Amino acid sequence: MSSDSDILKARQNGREMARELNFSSGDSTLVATAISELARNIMQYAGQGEIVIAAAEEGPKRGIVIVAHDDGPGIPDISEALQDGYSTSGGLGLGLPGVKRLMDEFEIVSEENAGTTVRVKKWLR
Amino acid sequence: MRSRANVAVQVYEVRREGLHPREKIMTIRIHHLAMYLIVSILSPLADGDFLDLRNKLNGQVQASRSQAVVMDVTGLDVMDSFACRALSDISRMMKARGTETAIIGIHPEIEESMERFGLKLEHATVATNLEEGLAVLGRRIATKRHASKYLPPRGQDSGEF
Repeated sequence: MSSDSDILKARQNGREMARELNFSSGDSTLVATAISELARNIMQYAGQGEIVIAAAEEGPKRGIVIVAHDDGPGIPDISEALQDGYSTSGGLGLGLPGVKRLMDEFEIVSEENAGTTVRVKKWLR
Repeated sequence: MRSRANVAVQVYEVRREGLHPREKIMTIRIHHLAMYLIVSILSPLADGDFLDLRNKLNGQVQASRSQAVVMDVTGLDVMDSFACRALSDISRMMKARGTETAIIGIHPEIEESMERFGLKLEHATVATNLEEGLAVLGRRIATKRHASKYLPPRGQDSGEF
């Protein structure tokens, strides 16, 4: 993805995938919102990157996994980025704490000057 | 509505290449209705569409001297931090020029996602429907008129030279 309409496409693909995996309409909205947020971070901080959306399985649990990856500048202080209100670009923040609250599982790996990978999961209720 | 001449409707459409029918056309409808500007967002918006909308409204409010704006966001697919900030920014801009904003049409599922996310619309009143939105704005405008009648004119109450 490399433009703002790609953010729109990513979240709409994600919503469709969530619906196909039997998520409720409400939970599909949560998934679409999280994707939108992660996709925007890629655009804003790295300029380009990719979002992979797939079915998730863990024992009896079924759900959806979203991996957002970029080769951008990375996040120097992850724990700071996970605090509400933190932003290096002077906005509302990266939205990562919000994404964490929308989803069930949240993992982030980031290396300065090497890129960032965020992996989030939501399980069917 | 006093006469048909008071109502003007503008429709903005932008065609996009996309996978799904509902993202192919971006539609925003703007009604001029007496002292109100009613802005209906009828489709999901990309980030750039929000910025275009902000610029458009800035000009429209200035040209029409509307006293209040109703933003109907029924068409939005999500309310993420960008959308929330864009709508709050538009409302703040309107407020700075003395125009109140009401936001209507937030789907219950989107409302729930905003709550979870921790997002709040600022500088605007959230109303459940058009009727309530217009009523809230009507009261605001009336209160402002009343207040301005009893306030001393600007610059005469400071005691400064």
